[in-house]
Amino acid sequence: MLLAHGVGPIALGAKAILESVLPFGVGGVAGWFASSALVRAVGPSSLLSSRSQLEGVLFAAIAVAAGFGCIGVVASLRCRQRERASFVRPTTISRVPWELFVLAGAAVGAVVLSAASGGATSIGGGAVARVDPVVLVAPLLGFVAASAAAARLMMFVLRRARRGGDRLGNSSWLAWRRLTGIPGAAALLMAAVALPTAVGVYGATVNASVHRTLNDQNRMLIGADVVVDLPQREKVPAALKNRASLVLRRDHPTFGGDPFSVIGVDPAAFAKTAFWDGAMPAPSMPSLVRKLHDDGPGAPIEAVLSGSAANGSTLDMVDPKGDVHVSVNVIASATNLPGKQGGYPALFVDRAALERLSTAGTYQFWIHGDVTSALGALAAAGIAPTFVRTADSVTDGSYVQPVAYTFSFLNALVTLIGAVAGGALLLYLDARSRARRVGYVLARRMGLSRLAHLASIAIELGVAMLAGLAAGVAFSVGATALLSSRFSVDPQIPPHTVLSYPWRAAAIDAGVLLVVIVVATIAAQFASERTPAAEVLREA
Amino acid sequence: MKPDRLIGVEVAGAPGVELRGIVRRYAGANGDVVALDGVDAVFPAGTFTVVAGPSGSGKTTLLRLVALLDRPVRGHVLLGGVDVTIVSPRERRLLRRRYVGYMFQQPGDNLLEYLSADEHVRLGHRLRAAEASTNTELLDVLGLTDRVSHRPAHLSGGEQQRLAFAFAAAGSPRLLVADEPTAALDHAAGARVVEALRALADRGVTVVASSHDPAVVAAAGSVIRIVHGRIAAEPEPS
Repeated sequence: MLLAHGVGPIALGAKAILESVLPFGVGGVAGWFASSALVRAVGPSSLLSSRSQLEGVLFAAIAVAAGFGCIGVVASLRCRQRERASFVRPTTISRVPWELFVLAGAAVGAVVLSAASGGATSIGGGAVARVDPVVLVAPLLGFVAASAAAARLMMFVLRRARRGGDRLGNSSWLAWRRLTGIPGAAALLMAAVALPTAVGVYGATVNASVHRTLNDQNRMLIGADVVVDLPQREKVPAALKNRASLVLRRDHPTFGGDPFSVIGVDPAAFAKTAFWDGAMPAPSMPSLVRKLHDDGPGAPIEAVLSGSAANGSTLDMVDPKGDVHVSVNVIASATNLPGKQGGYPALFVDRAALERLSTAGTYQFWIHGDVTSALGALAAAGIAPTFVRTADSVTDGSYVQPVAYTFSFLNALVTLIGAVAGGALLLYLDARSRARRVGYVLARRMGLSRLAHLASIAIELGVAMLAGLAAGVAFSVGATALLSSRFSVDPQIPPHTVLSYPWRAAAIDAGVLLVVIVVATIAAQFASERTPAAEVLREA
Repeated sequence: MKPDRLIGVEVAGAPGVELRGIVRRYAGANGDVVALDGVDAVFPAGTFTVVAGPSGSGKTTLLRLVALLDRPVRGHVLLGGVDVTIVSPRERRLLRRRYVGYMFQQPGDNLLEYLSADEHVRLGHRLRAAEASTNTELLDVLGLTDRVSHRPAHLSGGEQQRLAFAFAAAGSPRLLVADEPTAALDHAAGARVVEALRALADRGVTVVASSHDPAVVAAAGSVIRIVHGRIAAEPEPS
């Protein structure tokens, strides 16, 4: 109408910007305060430097300005397009779905960030662990593009499906007509659910997988949940039967001329107490270690190799009673075996065979379970360890805290996107409110029952929102498949990424969504029933 | 008449409108729809002309071309002797702002829900850079004196239509194009609008309206009938 009165696209774009000043300004200020509160609550510190706060103001201003820019440009372009729709052919670039540009941005961002970061920082050497930025930035943009593409596809399908549905029941038919009548609204609602679902499920997957991988890496590094050094050879206390195994460790032998760790184990007990995650790639440690056995004095010593060595290599050990040189029969090898400390490869041998060759070295208990009960059992047995290592002490170290912050912030982002999705649902319900009220009054007079109308709303909302849930889960699965190799914060240490799927979190999300659908359905029905019929009919 | 500096074209007085060989097609789901097929029509300056015809005959398309809201696929539209089909979109927009008032067929399409009646008329004057002193005069003529501070949601359908007319006519446009101006009005309200259209034409404004209303047809100086996108007969005096 304003175009008809000669108002130009640039003026209308400026009008859109001016209308956005108040909400954007309030949002920018609120966002700055919320982010400061989030950092204070989550970390890395409750004290914020004045410089960081000023930088926060700067970034908030940039975000608000970018928002104004987007609003102004999009409004102007749309008005220009509307004004000239009859006059000029759409340009080729204007026909390209905008989400492809966002997807391209995601791909470019992934390449640029990959080149800049060079992968995750190794935990060793005092460096700080961090999540590969590609893991977070590229998928967020990708989810936006994918949600928009899914919305476009949904509109295409709904438009073509408008003629169908004649065989459906009353409730389903009504719902289908509403969905196909204004496909843009249904598609928008679907996308508003898909985006936070994708971000939430993917974030939970990455969080769980990063922590599981880190946990596995630490336990692989240590060897078990708890490893204690003993002053001398000890028997496993009865309280720790089936939880602990005695290990003889030597860290200075050479095998084939290269430094190795030699770990003498009780094959049966070791398989139960040393750390292993069934999700790690085969062959499994228990299956390999159980193959070890002692063929007696004079026979070549059998070993499971974690690392690489030339065939026919000799194991050389320094011993106070005389140096040992012995042939080793490597019966199996694997990349991922626990206890590889110091980065040296390891030979796992039968403990009895190792003790026969040399008793120099350190006796250890490798214990499965929590450290408190383990140390209590040792103390009760009168055993005083000389050194205690726990995998959790590595995980709790300050150099992995940035990983914790990252995912706390990601969870906050998911909550924000979820709130936006909730707003989108309210807008959808409000936008359709008048049509729904008029439709309800007319339909009731034609004999439609209240229950049938309630069911039609549930079907309408359910189709759109459950489609969004399915799409969001699919997007997160796709992103996980593409990027899972980058979930390990320290790729130098095996195992590589061990995926952990957030089934519980996903089930909770689905449950929450169902509750939202039910509540929204009841609210919409209630609003329709409360409306005075005379007023509605007058408006209609 | 001096060329309008902003627009760069010269439009003399109340411009008449001439359509020459107008063809307008729209892309439809089942192929192109020909809305106007070789239409020649003249709307002399300072006259009141009604475009009549059955539903779907092309009346609204023709009015949109006259009001510079659309451009033909073929043919020319002359406004005050200026071929506006070859001017730039910016010049066309400025011509609309300065010279053309348009009323959409649906009352709700003509009004901004957040402006009161008085504010609509004031906006119309501002857009045409005209004096705002006659705000209430226009509303008084249309019987909206008691509704000056009401927003469209608080007006009846007929009141909305009259306000839409006031908005289109605010700022003294030289060409007023109205699509079914009395469609939602009762006899008395419709008569006020017809009287206002006639008064505008008497003041030298070129008025073009589409209507089925006999009262509007009777008030017009000439009638152009359009059927299936073609002029059915020569303009006839009403």
